[in-house]
Amino acid sequence: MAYRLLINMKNNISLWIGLLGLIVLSTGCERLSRGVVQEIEFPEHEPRLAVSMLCNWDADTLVARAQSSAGILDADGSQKQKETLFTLSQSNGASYTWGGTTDWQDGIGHVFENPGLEEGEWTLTAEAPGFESASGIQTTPPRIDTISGAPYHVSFEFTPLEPEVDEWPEEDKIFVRQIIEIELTLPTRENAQDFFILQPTIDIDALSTEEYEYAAIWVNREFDEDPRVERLRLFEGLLVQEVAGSIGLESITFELEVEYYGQTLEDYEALSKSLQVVAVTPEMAAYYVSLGNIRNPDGFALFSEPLLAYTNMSSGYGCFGVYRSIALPL
Amino acid sequence: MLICSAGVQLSFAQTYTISGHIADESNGEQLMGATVWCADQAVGAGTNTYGFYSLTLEKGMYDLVVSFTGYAPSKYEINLNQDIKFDIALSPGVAISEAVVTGETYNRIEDQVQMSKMEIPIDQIKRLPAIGGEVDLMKSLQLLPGVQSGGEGTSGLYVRGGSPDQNLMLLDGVPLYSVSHLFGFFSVFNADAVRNMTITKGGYPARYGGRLSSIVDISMKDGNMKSFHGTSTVSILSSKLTLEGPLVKDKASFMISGRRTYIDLLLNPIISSINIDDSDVTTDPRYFFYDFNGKVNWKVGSRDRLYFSIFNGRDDFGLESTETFGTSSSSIGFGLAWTNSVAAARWNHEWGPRMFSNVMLTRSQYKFRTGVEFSELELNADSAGSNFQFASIYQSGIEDYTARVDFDFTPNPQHFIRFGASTIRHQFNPGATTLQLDFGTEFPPLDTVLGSAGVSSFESAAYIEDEFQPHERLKLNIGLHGSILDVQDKVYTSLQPRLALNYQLPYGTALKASFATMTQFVNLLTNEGLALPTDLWVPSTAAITPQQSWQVAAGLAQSFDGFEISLEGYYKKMDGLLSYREGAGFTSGLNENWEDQVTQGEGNSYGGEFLIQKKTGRTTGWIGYTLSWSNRRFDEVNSGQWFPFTYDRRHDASIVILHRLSDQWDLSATWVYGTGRALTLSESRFKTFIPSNFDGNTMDLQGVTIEVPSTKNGYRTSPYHRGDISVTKSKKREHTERSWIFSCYNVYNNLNPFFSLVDTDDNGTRVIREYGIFPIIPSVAWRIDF
Repeated sequence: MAYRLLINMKNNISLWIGLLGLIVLSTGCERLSRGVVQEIEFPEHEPRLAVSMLCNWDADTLVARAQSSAGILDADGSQKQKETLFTLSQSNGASYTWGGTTDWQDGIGHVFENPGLEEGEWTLTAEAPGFESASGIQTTPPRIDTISGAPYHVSFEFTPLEPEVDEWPEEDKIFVRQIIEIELTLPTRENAQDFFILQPTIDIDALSTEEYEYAAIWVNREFDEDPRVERLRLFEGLLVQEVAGSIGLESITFELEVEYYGQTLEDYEALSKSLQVVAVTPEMAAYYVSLGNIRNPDGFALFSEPLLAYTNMSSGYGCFGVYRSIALPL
Repeated sequence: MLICSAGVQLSFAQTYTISGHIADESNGEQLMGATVWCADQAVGAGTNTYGFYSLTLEKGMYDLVVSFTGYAPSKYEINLNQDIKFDIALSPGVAISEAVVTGETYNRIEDQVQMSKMEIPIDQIKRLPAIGGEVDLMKSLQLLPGVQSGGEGTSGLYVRGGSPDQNLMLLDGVPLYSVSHLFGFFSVFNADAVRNMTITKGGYPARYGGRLSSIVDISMKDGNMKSFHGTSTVSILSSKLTLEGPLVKDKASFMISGRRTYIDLLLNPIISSINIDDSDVTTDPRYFFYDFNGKVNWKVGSRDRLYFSIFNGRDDFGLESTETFGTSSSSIGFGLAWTNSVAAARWNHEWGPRMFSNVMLTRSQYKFRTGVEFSELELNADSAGSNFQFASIYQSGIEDYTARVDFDFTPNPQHFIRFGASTIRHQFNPGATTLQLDFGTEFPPLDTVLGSAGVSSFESAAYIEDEFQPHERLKLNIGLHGSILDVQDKVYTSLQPRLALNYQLPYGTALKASFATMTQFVNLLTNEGLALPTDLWVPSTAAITPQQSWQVAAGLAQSFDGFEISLEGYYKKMDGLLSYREGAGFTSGLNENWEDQVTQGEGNSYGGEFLIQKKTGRTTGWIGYTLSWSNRRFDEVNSGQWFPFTYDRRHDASIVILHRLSDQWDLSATWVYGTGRALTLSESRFKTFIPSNFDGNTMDLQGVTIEVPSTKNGYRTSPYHRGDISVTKSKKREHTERSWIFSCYNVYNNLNPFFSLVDTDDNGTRVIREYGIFPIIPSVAWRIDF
């Protein structure tokens, strides 16, 4: 019987093809029950140093932090590395080292007291036991000035509009809303990229907590469309940068809006309000923009390019950034 | 200068020219790439796209061999004592008997100066296994070394590390901007309407320009000049019908071909049965695609020929749902549709035996539209005025008008000169959203348009190239392509030198090398994760510089006993590449100017390709292997560091076997393997400390923990591999041939990832999930040729 079948098959191509098809189909169909989704374990993560040193070059203290990066499945997460040694060095041989457990201050990080460092290009190197060292480079931005004629000065014009006051007699309070029109001209340099963060601040420490006072200041969304200006997503503020084809950083205009809920108009007017003009390095600007985008993304993730945290550290995590700021009273 | 030097040579010898067309004897179709070979002089000539050849020799008697793959070669004794016009007809169908005139042909791979150019005969493509029995030209190209697919089942091409917009897709010489149906799972090219297809991956001759990575040149059938014929195929996804025949025998012919899916017709009864359960709700989904090809050609005289061709394809996907509550009714509709249309008029003219020209006027348009519409209607007349309507419609597209002229000039056997010029008017609509709001009578209605303004540009080009033989062992093709773009009061110019050489080594092996620079003035904005019809065609503008590349390639080629073997290495450098910035994409850019969403950068790709191909005999097919690297760098992506291109595929291999078991049975099988795609997945986290204010107190830091990918495209999906088989049983009758085609896609049901996501499993543990979309898919199709 089997012999006959074989003889028949020898002479019948369609039988052979049918048999081959059945074998192949049964092999494939057997696996259909597994579905079309498979789970893959995360690749093992090799921890690296995530260094954060974003510092005001004119401050009395500089603070650096080093954490370990962690795999997404690592229950312990990103851990502080107290034994990290930080070195700031220049090509002319200047070198300053701090860190380790002696310079560690809980809740703050590794503190470098009274640095008094010169301007120029600096390399930050972080070394911690069990990690590859990480390094990054920064060139300090110039000190900002308000004196006309100074090489890196900001000129400004603030126009506070008449405050709108709503009285709430049943609660013996007033609600104040005020618009402040801003026009700034920020300095630019040849052969260098100039970036500025503009951050409005109001002294909420002066508010009475017992009287339930409240005050806030923010950039009004109705500022003119200006390709040089973009809203920061990490906190209330703007990032200003030079754009090809535009005329430097002249005449940056926008509005600030202030709200106050409290006792009297005099109390409101006594509150200290200012606009921080912060000259940041391009690397620090990129870091703030990327962190802001990660925390407040727009669009649907599946249809958008993945977001990565900007880094200028060789380890691939963190940032060495330098800024200088000046507060312009409003 | 090239023409002058050729002319000087011409003046020293008394020469005559034999010229004409080479066509298929059975249907009159012009044969592109057929050769006329003069063994005495060891020189030959090939036919151009329109089947025209021109061979200039010194006065004398010659034996000429005319050949073309899959056709019986013909020998002719010619007394060349004057210019001769000699049209030749070749008989098809001798591939089975392996009637190859070895050593007396001119189109062997080792004879051609052009490298990195490949062709799969349409007859082979039709016999390859296909999803749902729907033969696809683009997927056939993906089986060649150096050409990769974008993902499971998709028809996009990634050639030598380039992106899909860097492929110049020509249908009868007209660029097509979107070649996909069904979200990329099928291409718009209907194999029954196509006569010929080639792909050029490098060593581009000067006549081509405008794209960085490849030229895919597809010619529609001209239409049978001898008798009326047709083909109809019915598969589980679609049906198609092609008709062709003479309008005036041997003078004019036509070809029309149409294809339509019936997914909607199959789905509608199922949806209707669901709707029966709830009479207040009606849901009407729709999806279909169709395409139509048409062509007419007319021999106006002995020296002139006119062609008119059109193509129109459309995909329409949507859903409309209506719900009634008491006296009110609400309806919501979603739609997504894209349309391609192409029209071309061409005029061939022979200026003499040595000069041939083609003039072309074309229009190409791609339109995309998606939108949501919502309305609430109060059916009670007393409440009229409380109606609410909202619509958001996003549209993008590109429209080209082109005028082009090409000349082929053969002054003598040593030189084959081509020159020409073209100009294109591009009109881009790079994404605009129309918002319409009507609240009834309480507020005035809103009707506004957001997004990018349209941009028009003029792109012009001119070229000249000469293929010549300065030494008996050396052939060269030297050319220059110049292009210019005028956009937004900005003018970009580009001079692109091209060089290809073929040096004959001992034992019949050819050493080939090429150098080509290319410039591209159009860009496709696409997310790396998913290629969709939402991808946006945008121009180079005053702010966005053109894409540019240079590519150098070298390799060896030889043919023996019906086999062709080639081994090539290449390096390609690209600049001005365009990408969405991190976090940007189609959905984030709906209301913004696209130029604010993008960044420009550079790329490189390099690798080696091996191909052994058998084009004749009972068993045909090929084995291909590619080892390659492809990288990108953008200032605003991955911290400005280099990263692997998402389609950086280290290993890519394919095996294709087609075997004719008998006159009735055909068997074909393919197997492909590719390294997994490079993806960016959040697989790490870290804590960083940033100043929350800048008042000088640097001790006041805010701790932020974020989950991030460690690097761009640092993760690889599982490798891709798949086997397909197909069996065709044909039965010939007096006037018809009927075939049953049984195919099985992914025969061993390997789960090939289409996309991957970070997700959580049943135990709450984070995992990477790979989602496949095509398991094993058997299918059957029926075809009749008459």
